[in-house]
Parts: sequence; C-alpha cells; structure tokens
Amino acid sequence: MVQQLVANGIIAGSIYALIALGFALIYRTVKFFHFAHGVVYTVGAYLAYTFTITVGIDPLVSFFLAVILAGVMGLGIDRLVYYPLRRQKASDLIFLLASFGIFIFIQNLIQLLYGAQILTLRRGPIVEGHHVLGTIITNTQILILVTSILLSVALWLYVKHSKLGKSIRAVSDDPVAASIVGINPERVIGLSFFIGSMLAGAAGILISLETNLEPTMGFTAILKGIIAAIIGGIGSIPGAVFGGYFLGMAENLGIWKIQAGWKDAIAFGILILFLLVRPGGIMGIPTERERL
Amino acid sequence: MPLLEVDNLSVRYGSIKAITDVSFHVEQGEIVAIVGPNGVGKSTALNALSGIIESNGGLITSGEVRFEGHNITGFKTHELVQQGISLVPEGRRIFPRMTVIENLEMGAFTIKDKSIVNNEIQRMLDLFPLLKDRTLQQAGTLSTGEQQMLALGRSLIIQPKLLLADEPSLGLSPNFVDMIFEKLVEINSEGTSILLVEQNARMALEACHRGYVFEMGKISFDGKKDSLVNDERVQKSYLGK
Ligand SMILES: Nc1ncnc2c1ncn2[C@@H]1O[C@H](COP(=O)(O)OP(=O)(O)OP(=O)(O)O)[C@@H](O)[C@H]1O
Ligand SMILES: [Mg+2]
Repeated sequence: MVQQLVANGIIAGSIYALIALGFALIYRTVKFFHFAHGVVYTVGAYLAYTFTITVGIDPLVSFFLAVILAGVMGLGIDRLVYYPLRRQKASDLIFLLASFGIFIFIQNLIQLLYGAQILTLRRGPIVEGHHVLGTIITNTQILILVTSILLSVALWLYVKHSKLGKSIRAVSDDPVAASIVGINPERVIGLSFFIGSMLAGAAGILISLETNLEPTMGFTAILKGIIAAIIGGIGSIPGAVFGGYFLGMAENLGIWKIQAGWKDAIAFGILILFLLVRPGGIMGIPTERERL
Repeated sequence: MPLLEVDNLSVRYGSIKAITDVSFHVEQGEIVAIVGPNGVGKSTALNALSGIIESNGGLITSGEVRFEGHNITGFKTHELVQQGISLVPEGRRIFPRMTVIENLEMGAFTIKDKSIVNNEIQRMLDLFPLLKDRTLQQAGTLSTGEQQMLALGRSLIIQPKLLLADEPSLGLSPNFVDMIFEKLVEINSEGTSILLVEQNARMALEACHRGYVFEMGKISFDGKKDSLVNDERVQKSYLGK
C-alpha cells in the first residue's frame, strides 16, 4: 500500500515538476504569475489527441508537433497580450488578470471545439504493469518519469551552460544590465515563453497517456505547478523539480490515512505552511533586489 | 567630426524637467568629464544617450545624439553595443547571481567567436588581477570595489569605441579610487574615448582632457582641463580651495 502510494507520488510529481519548471523559467524573466501556463498544458494534450486520434498520424510525430505548437502558443500569448502590456508598464495585477482572461478564453474555446465530455488518448486493452518493489508500475508511468527527469536535466544544463541559457539568467538578474551588454531582453523573454510552454505541452501529453482529457484539466495542474514552484523557491530550476516531487509525494502519502478527496487540501496546506515558515522556498531567488 | 555629439538634449520625468537643452561632445581619443552637484542631471544625460532612460520612466523631449555622424537618438540600449558604445551604469549593476566569469561572458554577449571571447576574458582578468582569484565567485558577494572592477571589465570586453561611465568611483576607498582612475587613463591611452560622470571632481578633472560643469539641469560652463582646474568657480565649489 505505502509502496504504491510512493509510486503514485512519483508519477504525479513528474508532471508537477514539468509544469513548475516551465512556470519558473517564465517567471524568472517576466516576474509575474503566468497563470495561463495551465491552459497551454491543456492545449498540448488536446493537440496530441487531435493529431493521433482525429488525424491519425504516428503518435511520436504527433507528440513532437504538439510540443512545438504548445511552445509557439506560449510565445504567441506573450507577443499578443503581455508584450503590449509591458510597453505600457502595466502593474502586476493587470498581468495577473490578463493571464486569467487568457486561461478562461482558451479553455472555453477548447470546450466549444471538443465539447465538455471526457476524451481519451489511450487505446487497446489496459496492460498489466511491472512488479517493482511491491508496486505495480506500467510502461506509461516509466515513460512519464523518465521523460520528466530527462527534460529537467536538459533544461538545467541549458540554463547553466549555454550562452542563450545564461542570457536568460542575466535577464532574470537585471534586465537593464542585460540590455547594457547587448542582450535584447524581449527576445530572451520570448525564448523563455517558448521553452517553458513546450514543457507545459509535454506535461499535458504525458498525463493524457495516463488519464483522460477534459477542457478544465489545466486548472488544478497550474495550481499544483505554482505550489510546487513556490515550495522549491520561485524561479529556481532545481527548486521547481524538487517542489514538484515533494508535492506529488506529500499529496499521495497524505491520503494514506485519510480520504483521497483531501489531496488538494493537502497541497494548499503545504503551500500555506511554506508561505508562513519559509516564504523563499527551499532554493529561493529573491523576487526584488535592493539596488542603489 | 566628433565621435559623439549631443545637441540640445532635454529630458523630463513625468512633468519634472531634469535637463534642458544640454549640448556637449566627445572627440576621438578624449576623456571628457561631466561634474556637478547631486541631482543636477548628470546621470540623466548619460542615461538618455544610452537608452536606459526609458526604463527609468524618463522621456527625451528634444535633442539629437549622433555617434560617428549617425543619428542614434532613441536607440535601444542593446543596439548601442553593436555601435561600439559601452556603459558602466550608476550603481554598477553587475549580475549578482552569476559568477565573475559569467558576468564577463555576458559582457562579450555580442561577440560570436568563442575563442575571441576567451581571449578577451583573459585580457580583462589581466587588466583587473583582483578578479583572477574570484572567477567562480557569485558577483553579488564581491566587495563594492571588486564589483566596480567587474562592471568596468564587463563593459570593456567588447573594446568599445566609447565608454560611458557613471560615477565609477562612488563608494570606494581611496586606493580603489586611484586604481579605477589609473585604469581609465590606461584604457584611454589604448584608444577608447571616455565620457565620465563624476562627483569626485578633483580626480575627474585631473584625469580628463576637457570637462563640462552641470548646474540645475543645464551646463553652466565648460573648458579644457587646465582652464577648468584653474577656474575660480570650480576651485571654490568643487576643489575646495
Ligand atoms: N527615475 C526618476 N524619476 C523621477 N525623477 C528622477 C528620476 N531620476 C532622476 N530624477 C530627478 O532628475 C534630477 C536629475 O537626476 P540625476 O540622477 O540625473 O542627477 P545626478 O546629477 O546624476 O545626481 P547624482 O550626482 O546624485 O547622481 C533629480 O532632480 C532627480 O530627482
Ligand atoms: Mg547620478
């Protein structure tokens, strides 16, 4: 029983980690909560569904296309909505409201196009999983875990060592200083939206291999992603991954003795605990920097 | 043709006029100092020509800035680097969560060739040996003086034609102040023209070829080094004689 809960926690954590990663990457460059990140996750899943089931192309190709398109969508949201707001020097509250607006708008659009009913990507009979350390793990779950870890490590290496990745950190530290050295901060922001949104798309596709799709799936997902990012220390990449797995585990182990319906309450309980005790998260980056 | 020409530049923040009809220029090879008391608009002038003013909430209401004869008024900050203009901003603004080496790498962002970048980083470490032992230290944990060295190194790595420096000696101990001015003169002798905003008028006028004295958003007078150093008004107000 406990082993199974741990396994479930790891799978949930893999998804939370991916969402939190993209969210954190974007947060680093723009410093506001891109709530609409959650609907990019939904769109990723629905695109994968459309390509594989409706159009009928090879799943791998479909997933690849869906991930790229999710990235383009995130970039589009930034260029069409956030960029004009940035030019007007809009307040954080305006950005948050705009972000909610985008979320609801696109979620309704999905409902209109696909209907409110549940869809499923899975085909064929449910296969018996592998028995590992007293748990049953399916191939799909292994795929989710491995993909999530690979993408996390890839992103970490990219931001740590590549030139463009470093420019993301530079803009995160100080956008004006970045422009002084010849970096165009707008391009870096675009890059972070593109990469971050691809990660959200990937998370949406992975989860739809495991559970059903519904138009509202992005809502809990982004809440969990944000909680994970805050637990880990908002903006930190290893922190987001850690926060994702921590949250996944805590939720699933938490329902060992109580009813499963308490999962979300546990997540928010942990959030409030962190905000009270350690608001900077485990590996936090200070949001505002004191400057001369 | 002067390297940099600024004609009738006016800037305001909201409804507050910060500078009005300010004109100055920098010739090829010169060190030009801008001195004056607090709040007279020295940084504003520098930020207006480096494009930073926009992010500060300032607005250029009139004037033209030309670099090598081209109109660069209203250029974005990141576009100026391509022209060969580099800035050491007020307050240094190094990347605090990046290492010393990474800061220098970012300074070389516009250089495509990796081997040139490495050479230039080495050149900067030779120019500022203090940074050598600290290459992997987070820049935010450096002392103020070391941060100033880093800011200078970061802006010099592209071998700019013109260096704009805003109070590079602010908050530094006398040793560091001397060192910074020595470096500026050294850099200048190697071909980089410098526009230097300074509160430390004594040092700035000592190091410069020419200077402008700002007062209340205007230039009250200007002149060659000798005439400024010997000027009665300058001696009384700025050199404490
Ligand atoms: N971002 C801003 N918003 C509003 N007013 C500003 C802003 N920056 C500067 N000012 C005002 O413009 C005037 C000129 O400021 P500026 O910073 O250019 O002076 P300065 O000569 O560089 O002074 P210091 O020697 O203290 O650095 C000051 O009155 C200042 O209060
Ligand atoms: Mg100033």
